Amino acid sequence: MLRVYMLLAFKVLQRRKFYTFISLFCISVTLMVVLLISSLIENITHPPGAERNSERFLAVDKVSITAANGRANQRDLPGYQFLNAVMKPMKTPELTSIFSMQSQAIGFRNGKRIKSYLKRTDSQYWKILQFDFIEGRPFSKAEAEQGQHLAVISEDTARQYFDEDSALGKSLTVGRVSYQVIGVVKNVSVLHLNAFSNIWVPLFATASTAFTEQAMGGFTGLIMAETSQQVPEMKREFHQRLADYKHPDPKKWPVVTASANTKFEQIARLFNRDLNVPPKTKELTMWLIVAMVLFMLLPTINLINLNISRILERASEIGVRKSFGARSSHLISQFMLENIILTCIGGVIGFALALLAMYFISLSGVVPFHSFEINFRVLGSTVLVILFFGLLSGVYPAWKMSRMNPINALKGAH
Amino acid sequence: MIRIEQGKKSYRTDTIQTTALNDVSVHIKSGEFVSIMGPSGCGKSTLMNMIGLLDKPCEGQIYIDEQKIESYRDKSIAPIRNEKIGFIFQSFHLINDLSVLDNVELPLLYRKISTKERRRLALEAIDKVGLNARTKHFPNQLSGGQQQRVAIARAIVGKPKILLADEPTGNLDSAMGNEIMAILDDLNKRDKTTIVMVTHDDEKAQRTERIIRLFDGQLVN
Repeated sequence: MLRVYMLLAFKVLQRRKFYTFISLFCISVTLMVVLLISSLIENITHPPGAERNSERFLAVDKVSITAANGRANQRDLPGYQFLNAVMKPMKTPELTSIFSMQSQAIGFRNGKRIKSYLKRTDSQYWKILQFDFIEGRPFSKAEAEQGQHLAVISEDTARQYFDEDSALGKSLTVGRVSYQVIGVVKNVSVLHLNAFSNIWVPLFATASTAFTEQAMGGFTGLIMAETSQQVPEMKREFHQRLADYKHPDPKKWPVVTASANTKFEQIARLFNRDLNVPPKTKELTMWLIVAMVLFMLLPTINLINLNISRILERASEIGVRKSFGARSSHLISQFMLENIILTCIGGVIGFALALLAMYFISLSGVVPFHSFEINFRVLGSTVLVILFFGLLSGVYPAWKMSRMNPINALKGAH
Repeated sequence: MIRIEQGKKSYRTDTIQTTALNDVSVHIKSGEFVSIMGPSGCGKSTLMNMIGLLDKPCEGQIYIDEQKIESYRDKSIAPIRNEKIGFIFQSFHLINDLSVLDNVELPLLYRKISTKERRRLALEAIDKVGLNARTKHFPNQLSGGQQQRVAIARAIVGKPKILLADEPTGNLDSAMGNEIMAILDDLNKRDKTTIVMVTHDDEKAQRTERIIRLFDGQLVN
């Protein structure tokens, strides 16, 4: 039976080539976009490369302080003082790290201005984030604390300053400060906020240490558990420590709130500014699904119409099959199978188109240093989308046609 | 074998109600070869469709193989159509995308039998209509007479007790029509298949054992 159904499915596809083209175009472009978006979401929430341990760490990147009267409120990146006071005494994390937000750093080479981003980090940063070193090494605890003027740079920055030569041991001047290059790492995507930068220098390689006294602004903290199962416990401990924390000016700012977030929670926080409320990850997931379904609705309706037209042409076949004992369920499964075959062909084309699009987007540099990747999770979700698309666009026409009166169906052939 | 008791069928549009069959009672015995005749619009096809369980009477009862048809739900009548009835249509209704063999196998797709057995039965049916050399051909590669023979093979492949032929020779020239009639005669005589044939052709009707005549939805002597 399956052989006959599949044979028919391919014959039907060859019958009306324009219909087939429109259907395949519709399916493949939809799937290409779905694949691109899901790859992007996957890349942000489960990043590969330097942030590949993201399931084990939480980022502390938002702090809010409220005045005693409850009216005045400030919300910013945490300051070093806050992170040091809350995170450092924590027992559950295996590692903790404090690093600055990347800032612009201008350098010159042969009179040409080079714009880069610079991050100041501690030594633990290099243990939590797994950078791929092309050459050299990260800075040590002593080097970071002593504020030695050392730098790890990205391969793109190395190329800009030193062409193809080895950058190790060479001097790099940015913002009128010179650093000795001790390591070169692979480029980091701009979407991986914790890791992204072009130049990384020791936290204390700065003229002033006034930042150590500031509770608000400019820094992010990372706390990493030994296993991903320990993350909730680590989060609980963070909130306990936070409850004990006092702002340097406690009379003015008696209330301090903050949150330690997973990658997905970091995104959810963008839509929920109140740090007292947990990030609305379930709502975000729901909205993503709703957006995906809405996006797919139009091509699905289009496909339903095309399928009805296609099946109507086969009224005679439906009449004959019913006359010879086919039940509605037989006809539904036949048309569904045909539609799933069509969708799968569209899916393969969509997949190829998505790979091409990813290649060209990566090449164009629209998203700096970002290279799209497809893993099993993205592939799995795409297969689910294909099946959903195939079932949704096939089930209604199949159901409608299977209920056709056999006499009318047979007459329709004339 | 087939019994219709006081069968009535009418169709209603927004403004008009048309009676297609009015109080028709028919009894066709097992192994009979019966033809249904009458002018266009007299209800021949409606009667045929009722016997084939493709249409539901508004009133009256239908018995197929002594079994009273109580429900017209898909689940109840699809197995009866599949196992007890074979259809032959005027315009053949073959599936052009499938080979002769695949077309003939079609009714067996809805039975729980192995592919091998299905193939064997289909080849046996094709052999009965003398088309062994055409199993891999497609319908549009065959003449009208050959296509109708394929349709007959499809109708008999499941060894039904009843064959319903709706003007089986209507689209064929006289020589081919005679060939088809010979096959139907043979099936009736050799396999004792009950055949009900709708025809306009008096000569073909005379070759059957009994003629049921209809006029304005009623039986006439």
